[in-house]
Amino acid sequence: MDRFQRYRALIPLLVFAMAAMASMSCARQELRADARQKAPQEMIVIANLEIPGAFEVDNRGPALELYSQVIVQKLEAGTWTDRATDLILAETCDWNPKPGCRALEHGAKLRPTRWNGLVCSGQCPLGCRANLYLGPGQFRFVVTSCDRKQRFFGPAFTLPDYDHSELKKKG
Amino acid sequence: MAVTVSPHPSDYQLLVTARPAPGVPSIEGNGMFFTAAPVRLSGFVTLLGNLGDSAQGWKVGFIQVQWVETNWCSYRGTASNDGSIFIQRGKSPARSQRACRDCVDGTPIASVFYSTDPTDGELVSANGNSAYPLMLRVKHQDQPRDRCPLSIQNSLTGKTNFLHEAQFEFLFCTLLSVQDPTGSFRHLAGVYWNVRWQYTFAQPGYRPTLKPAGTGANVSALFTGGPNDPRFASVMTSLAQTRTCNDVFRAATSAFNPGAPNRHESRVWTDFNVTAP
Repeated sequence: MDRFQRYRALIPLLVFAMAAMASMSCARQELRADARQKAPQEMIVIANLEIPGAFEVDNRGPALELYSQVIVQKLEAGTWTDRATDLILAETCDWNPKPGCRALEHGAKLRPTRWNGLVCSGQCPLGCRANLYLGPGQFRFVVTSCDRKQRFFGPAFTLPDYDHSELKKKG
Repeated sequence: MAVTVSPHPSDYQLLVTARPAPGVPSIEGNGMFFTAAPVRLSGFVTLLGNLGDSAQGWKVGFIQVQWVETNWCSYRGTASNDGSIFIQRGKSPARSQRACRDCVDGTPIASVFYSTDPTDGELVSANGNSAYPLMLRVKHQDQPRDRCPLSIQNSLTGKTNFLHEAQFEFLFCTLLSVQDPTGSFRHLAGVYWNVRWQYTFAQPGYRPTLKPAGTGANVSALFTGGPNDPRFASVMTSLAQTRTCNDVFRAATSAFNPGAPNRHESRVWTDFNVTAP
């Protein structure tokens, strides 16, 4: 009897714990449903950072794999045009960077090494012979899913001319 | 009257608006990085024609060739018995060809011009309905750079060898050229330019010391017409070329691979012959 009394005292705690677990489970389900319902542009959010060419990728949707090659687009006569660069979703510079796919969990953020505006060696120190600085102008970054079927567009940013660029300041 | 290029000296121009200059090498990650202030050119060409003549298919732009590449890095261990390594990226078999046509990544080498992307301003195409004289303006820039790993492993001694000396020489010729609708090229003016580095590096910290004779940049006097230079005439517009200068030098980085023919190792500190492959 004593033992029953002791367990009886635990019942409200048990009920509370079960309710809390149910509530958390619902919240998770809502989150998953929310992630499913988000438009692609809301799932992967690209934010420009203070220095032109610096950006962050935030996964607000379900976990997914992104293709590491970032598309740089330049606005020319009202049209966004792809530019070939060597920009990838790399937070550090490897000796031989290679494009591939990169997993990004729900809620994970990625802050790649900044793009300096160059076609070649635009992110990491690499060798180049022909090489162009693409500024000045309006640019945006486009990240794609691993299968490259989905495109996630970043907001526009202004890259200054070479003489006012971080590249020039760095020397 | 068909559309023609005005041969009058005041109807075309090539100007050097910024001269290249080698920067002091700097450590970036696990490499020593050699970068230059950009060379910049501007130019214009004038097309002549009559009212109603179509200039469709005429293009004005820059063609660039690289005709010399010196590219080696040498490494030494802390003590002589730690060995030394010499990496030769400027000669065969690592480098497959001496002269090459230089096109930015994304521009097919078969297009011949340095960059065909319309947003770069490097190449201008005339419209069909043009008023004459038609002045077509273009601009050009390049900023060559390269790097060496800070240290590599000597397979003979098993010791780490550190960057001791490096030399890079990139010599170019850039042409202001017109392509007519048949695909033929006419070179109106050009300039030779180069950028060069030669540095030794001391431990600790890879302190750089410049070798004055091997470091600098030059821009030649402008010349008119096309160059008649056998050192690179075969690569200027030839469609037989399949690899850009970026392709050629990237392939040459295989010289760093252990056992590569352009990688030479020694059990002691050695003054390697830098002119050898």
